[in-house]
Amino acid sequence: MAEATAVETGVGQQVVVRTKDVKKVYRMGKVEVHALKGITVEIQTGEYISIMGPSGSGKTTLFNMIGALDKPSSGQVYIDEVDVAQLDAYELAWLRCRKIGYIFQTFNLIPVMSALENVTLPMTFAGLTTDEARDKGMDLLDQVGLAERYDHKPFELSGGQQQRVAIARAMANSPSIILADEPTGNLDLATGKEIIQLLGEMNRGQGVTIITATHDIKMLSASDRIIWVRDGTLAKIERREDLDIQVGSVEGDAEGGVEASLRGAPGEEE
Amino acid sequence: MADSHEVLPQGRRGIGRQIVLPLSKAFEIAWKGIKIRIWRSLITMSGIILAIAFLTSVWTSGVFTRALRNVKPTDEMYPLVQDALEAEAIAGGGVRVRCAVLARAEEGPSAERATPAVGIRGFLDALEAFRAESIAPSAEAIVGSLSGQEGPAATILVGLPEAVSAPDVGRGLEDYVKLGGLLLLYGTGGLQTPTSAGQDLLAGLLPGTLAGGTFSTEGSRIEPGERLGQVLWQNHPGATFARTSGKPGAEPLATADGQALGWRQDVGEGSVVWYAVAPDSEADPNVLSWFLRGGTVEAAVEPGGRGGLLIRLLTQGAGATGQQGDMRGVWLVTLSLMVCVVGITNAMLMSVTERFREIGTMKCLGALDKFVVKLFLIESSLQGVVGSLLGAAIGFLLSFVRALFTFHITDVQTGEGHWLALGYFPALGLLGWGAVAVGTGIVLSVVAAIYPAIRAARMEPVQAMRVEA
Repeated sequence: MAEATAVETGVGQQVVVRTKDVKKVYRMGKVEVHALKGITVEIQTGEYISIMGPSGSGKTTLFNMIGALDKPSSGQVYIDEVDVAQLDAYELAWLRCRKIGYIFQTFNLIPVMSALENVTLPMTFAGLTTDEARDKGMDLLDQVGLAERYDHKPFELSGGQQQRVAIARAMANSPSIILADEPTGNLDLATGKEIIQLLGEMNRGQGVTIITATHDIKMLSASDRIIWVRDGTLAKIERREDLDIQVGSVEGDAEGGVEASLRGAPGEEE
Repeated sequence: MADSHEVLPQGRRGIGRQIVLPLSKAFEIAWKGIKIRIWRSLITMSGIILAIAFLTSVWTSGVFTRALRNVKPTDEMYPLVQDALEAEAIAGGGVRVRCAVLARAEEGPSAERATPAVGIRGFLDALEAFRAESIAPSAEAIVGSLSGQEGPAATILVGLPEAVSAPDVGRGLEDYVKLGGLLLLYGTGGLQTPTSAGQDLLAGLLPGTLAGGTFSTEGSRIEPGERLGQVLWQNHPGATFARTSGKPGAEPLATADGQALGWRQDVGEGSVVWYAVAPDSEADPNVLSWFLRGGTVEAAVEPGGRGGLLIRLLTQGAGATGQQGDMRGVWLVTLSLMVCVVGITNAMLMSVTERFREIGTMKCLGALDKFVVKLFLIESSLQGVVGSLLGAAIGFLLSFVRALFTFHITDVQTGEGHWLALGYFPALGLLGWGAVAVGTGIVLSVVAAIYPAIRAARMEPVQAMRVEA
């Protein structure tokens, strides 16, 4: 079901994340910085979304809002139609534990724990027994192709392997959403591709909504939609079908490619 | 999968409340962390180890001192004294026996150096007197018991001025008298010519100082029939004695005008030993206080009706100096505990800072603030337990070694050593203070971790996103 609806964003889809005129103002000394100037987006269940934008565009702020890691100055963020701002600490922890899986640029595996223990940690927080968690954790490690390395500590794994474990961990409590912050940022080209592929598999196979904040243009071809953020506003939302296929061919120079497409993209819209 | 994709109506429906994990889970995770970060933990622990080692050594060395100082000299010394008496018997009556027992405390800080017992039987020649003096340099009295041809003859009692303490080891009795020390020579009833006997004796002991003293057999008698009753010679003329009552088991002695002097005590059948000294209160009031402040005078040995003395002398006693010592100890302990708390807090804060990403990640994965607090408090208390136990063990060893050498007694005659700390091991007291020290260590490390733990718990989950290390 998820696979069928993933590419469509038409009427009748279930909205998993919705922001409504989200604004964020930071105070830096005496200066007010308007990081977000009113962003309204809807993300459907099962979509693969990339949030793109240059540094300082508000991309990270928006991403954190969607992930319930930050609260807007005004406007609302709804996750599964629940206003995140209304939740107390226990409910927020519950939300982060079960509804959202987080993937980080720096992998962020708990260094003192083995791969399996890392994967089962969110299950422990969710109250699963040790046995249940172990079985489920091994399943997940198997899915990311690291079943036989379950007992390895993070420092015994390569970057790509660590990120695979992190993906397994993000999937631990069968979340609705996976939030991936620059998931390929610390990986080389080939490994980055593998991770994107794996995220895609999770998206299609499990129907989990994937939201990434990224600079990596490799991510574009995997995404259903790309949300371009610029200067705290929504520059445009592109569907994969509308993407300039040229972008994919300059992936050897990822940063340059993104910059090029950013310069071009909003301009085309106007 | 399907249920997590349900679209939920507006409001909070569908959102649960995160469960509070049992303590055992936090314990499990904290324990893993300590095991993996063992070196980091050891550095944190080293502060606790040092502080508790210090604490334990201070407390347990007090236990040793108290326990060993109260060891009755008789327990350890009687056999030695009796050996000496036997030696006299073999030699035959009237033959002088020298320095039967000289025991000493050899090491340790001078303030706490104790001379558990100095028992001298027989005539003292100049060399022996010097030896006796060097054995108890900081003692407030050196006692010699003199034995004449007709039996026990005289006792020398020397009061040392306050100014004379450990640094004056090289001095002889003469110097003490010159410094204003009170020197009394007591004769017993058997002595026929006390004055000349005393004169001979003192001429040997204190050449050139006799002019300052008065030989007398009048006015200083305490009670007829007592063995040690006559003042043969004194360098503070006018000291007189009278009885007063009050101290149980030992009768106080006082001057005629009621000033307390010391005590006499009946010990066993036929043996009467007393130690009292009376300065001319006008002439030298301080002398009295030296004696009253001094160590306790204990039992006498007199098998066969002969005078052997066992005097217990302690340099560290009651009074102002003791209280000052206590205050210093309390201050040192308090200071070390404060340093320990600051050290642990600092170390824990550092480990919070080092782990901002880990904490952020845990919170992203659904950890409650409470759980993070628990994690850090458990980590710290585990370090506290291990560190305190190690510290207590080290501190105990230190104070044991110290006590071993402080309370080492050598029999000058045989050269035989006695390790009092082994013979009188105060196990119960040590265990008690050890437990107190360990408890203190654990409490300290938990208290010190409260602020860092709260800081860790307040850390935002978004910290996990930070890229720079």
